[in-house]
Amino acid sequence: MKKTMRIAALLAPALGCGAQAYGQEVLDDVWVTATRSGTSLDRTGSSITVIDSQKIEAKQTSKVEELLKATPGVSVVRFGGAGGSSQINLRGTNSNHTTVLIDGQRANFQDPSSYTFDFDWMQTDNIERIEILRGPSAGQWGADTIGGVVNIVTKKGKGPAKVTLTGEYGSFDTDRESLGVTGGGERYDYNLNVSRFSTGGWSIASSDRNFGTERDSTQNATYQAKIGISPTDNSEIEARYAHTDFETDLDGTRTGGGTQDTNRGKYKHVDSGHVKGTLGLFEGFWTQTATASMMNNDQWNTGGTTTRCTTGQPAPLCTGYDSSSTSFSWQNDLKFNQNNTTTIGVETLRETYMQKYYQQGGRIAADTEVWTNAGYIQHQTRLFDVLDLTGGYRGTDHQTAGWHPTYFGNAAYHLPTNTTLKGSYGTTFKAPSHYQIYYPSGTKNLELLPEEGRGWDVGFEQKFLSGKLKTGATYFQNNIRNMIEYVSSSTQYQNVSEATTYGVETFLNYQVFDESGSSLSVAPNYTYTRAYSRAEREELTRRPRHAFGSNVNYRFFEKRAQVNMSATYQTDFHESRSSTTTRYPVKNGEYFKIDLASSYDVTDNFQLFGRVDNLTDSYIESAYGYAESGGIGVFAGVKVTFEPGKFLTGEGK
Amino acid sequence: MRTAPALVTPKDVRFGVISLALHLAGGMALLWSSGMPLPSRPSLPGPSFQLVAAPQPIAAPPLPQVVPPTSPVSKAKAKAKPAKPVLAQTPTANPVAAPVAQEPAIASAAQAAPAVASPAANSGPVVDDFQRVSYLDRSLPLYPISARKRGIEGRVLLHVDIDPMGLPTLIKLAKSSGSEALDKAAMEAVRQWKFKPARRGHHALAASVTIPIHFKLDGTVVADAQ
Repeated sequence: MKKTMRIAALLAPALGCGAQAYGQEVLDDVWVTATRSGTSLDRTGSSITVIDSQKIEAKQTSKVEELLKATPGVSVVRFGGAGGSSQINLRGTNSNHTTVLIDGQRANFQDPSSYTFDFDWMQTDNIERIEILRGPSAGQWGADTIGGVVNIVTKKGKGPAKVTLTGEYGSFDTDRESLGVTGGGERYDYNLNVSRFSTGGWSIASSDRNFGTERDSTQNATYQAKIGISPTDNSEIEARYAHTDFETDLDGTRTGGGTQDTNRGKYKHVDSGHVKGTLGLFEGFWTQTATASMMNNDQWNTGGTTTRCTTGQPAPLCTGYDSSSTSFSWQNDLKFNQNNTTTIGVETLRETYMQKYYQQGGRIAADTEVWTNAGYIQHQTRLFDVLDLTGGYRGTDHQTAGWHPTYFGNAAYHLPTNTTLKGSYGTTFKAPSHYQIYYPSGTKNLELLPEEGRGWDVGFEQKFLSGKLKTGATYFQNNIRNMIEYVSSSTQYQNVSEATTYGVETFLNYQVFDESGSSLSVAPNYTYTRAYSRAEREELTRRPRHAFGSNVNYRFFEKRAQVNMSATYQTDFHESRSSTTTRYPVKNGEYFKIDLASSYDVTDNFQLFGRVDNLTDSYIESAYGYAESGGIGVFAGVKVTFEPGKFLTGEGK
Repeated sequence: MRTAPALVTPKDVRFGVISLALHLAGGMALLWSSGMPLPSRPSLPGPSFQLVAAPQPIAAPPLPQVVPPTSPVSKAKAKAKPAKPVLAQTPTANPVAAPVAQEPAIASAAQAAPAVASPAANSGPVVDDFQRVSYLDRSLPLYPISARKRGIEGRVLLHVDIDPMGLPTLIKLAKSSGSEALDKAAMEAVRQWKFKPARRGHHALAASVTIPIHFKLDGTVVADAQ
């Protein structure tokens, strides 16, 4: 902009002063900026981290939670290697307190782990971006966002038709392949993708702890399609569908905690998809979005310990879980001007859950369909060009838990020193899941109350060196009432405690240099978390107190080559605290991990890449006795892209 | 080689304090080294322009004498009222050809006749208080949903003829952004705009200008249902 103005200033004396013959005086540039959707990052008081496609590609990992690991406020709990479920705890809250969205659509579903989103069945190939919104001020996306929201945005096709092929091979008999076809024009886009992942794995039951040695393998095949069509300039219809076939070996429960070698397995088929229509009316004043989305999980766990499924018995199948969620929503964004937007929406969610052959052939009761209806209103305003405020209300009517209003708000105040002061506050409510209500007998536990939360945070963000360096710190706190936990003495889920989590998140992103041929960026972060039950003053399980993450990225050779190093350190954690019969070690799981990844674009169409996982060969566990790493892992692969159009028109080589 | 998970002594507190201290120290050092008066906040997304009330006479820096005593803004306001667009004038007429009576204040301000390389500047007591066209009322174009959803960005150059009333009479696409939707959105928006016409003295002039309009998406988003 400055440049253009300077040119204008030079030309003006000649052009402006009457010489209208050639009269093209250049006026100041006009900038029309918009976010692809939603709220601009600079205009919200919520704490948000965005992991973009560059970062995802640089890390090369096949595991979604590895991408989330070195993020402030996120701690990952993974039950073993590939195949073991992986969960995150945001800001010390429970893993089912985080709402996970795929393209803005709720992806948590009812499963044996009670609404916890398991990242393990997903692959990273088709992810464009992950947005992590921490804290409870996310009321737009649900009343139960006690910890926050993780939005996984999948790729949209763009430009001329392009075919991408990748293949990767490496340690633990791992191979990974994908084939993608993408493309798009002004009015349409498409992205079709098939990804396959297979690994021989290592023993999920920790061999370092002498719990097991037998390797546990995993296979995953995912098929995805996403298509967008714009009938007019101000409308769009988008459809997405994904199907995953997943199977894995698992290990069984071990007396004394952890897991041990037994032939358990898990077969999973996950479907998800949505159809979404967006229409802008009245010069962009009114944008409405109608969405229908669905998620279905069909899962069989084999090799149980009940009489019907004895240990080691490969089939018949033992326990089946069938969960589905279907939702419809209608959202209206009213943009009064650049500084005032009101969002009003309604949504309805239907969830089902069924468990077959559970224990003695029992089956969870029939009325396991639950409807949740909700309406919300939110206003976003910018005052005096320095203060951004958002406030909202959500009313949720849950079929079994009843009517619950929740509130949320956040503020960002921008100082002329490139400082932003931020704060947010929100209340939440989370109904008990089907599993919690019906476990174990199949009859309703009517005493189970919803969890109620209240959380807030304050912090700052500071930019230096015209934005090349950004740092910030945020203090957060959450109070959760009626927290639901499994109580072994009653073999039921109960509202056992009131919990508090608090801590500090800090981050620093530094673009050391970014020239035409090379760039270097450094991004360390540190999070301090305390999470404890108030009654017993005891730490909640698996919450490391200190977590340090760092990512260094160096690009060179005209940016054709890059090296990426990420390091994670976390301190030890407590395992189960309530058990009196089993004694766990008091401290577990301190670890330090370094991952290296590198790639080189030999030509524009051909890339070589490779990575080393767990360079220091550390023993890694984030749940007692579950080996998260099998040691040093070395992987290498190639990526080929080509545009069929170029071959057809003879432009290709 | 690998160490079995050890029972770790709680050095965690120490680690935390050190890490936090280092972090803060680093931040402070940077704040210090960057010299406290920091450059003003880079434009936030949204209306990233300032509504230029009345641009300084462009030649202002090399011509200190011409700078009017009053601030450009107040001058603009003062002048806005009496100015009645001289409709009789044809847009292309050489504006210098009609140097009518000037207000004394302005005349005195401009006494040191601007000897700029103004090709049209006649000799004689020409008061060159020429003012460029500037934006008066512009509502930003709508970012078309079809382009926004697909991450299409671009820069549109428009040639716009502005009559002495400050209204656009002709809008031509000088350079396309590469996207029809963006071009259309830009042209439709400019059609609604009002300009402060170019003027010399009291005379509003017709002008034709080039308007660059950039469509830019900031990739940062927070999830929503859109």
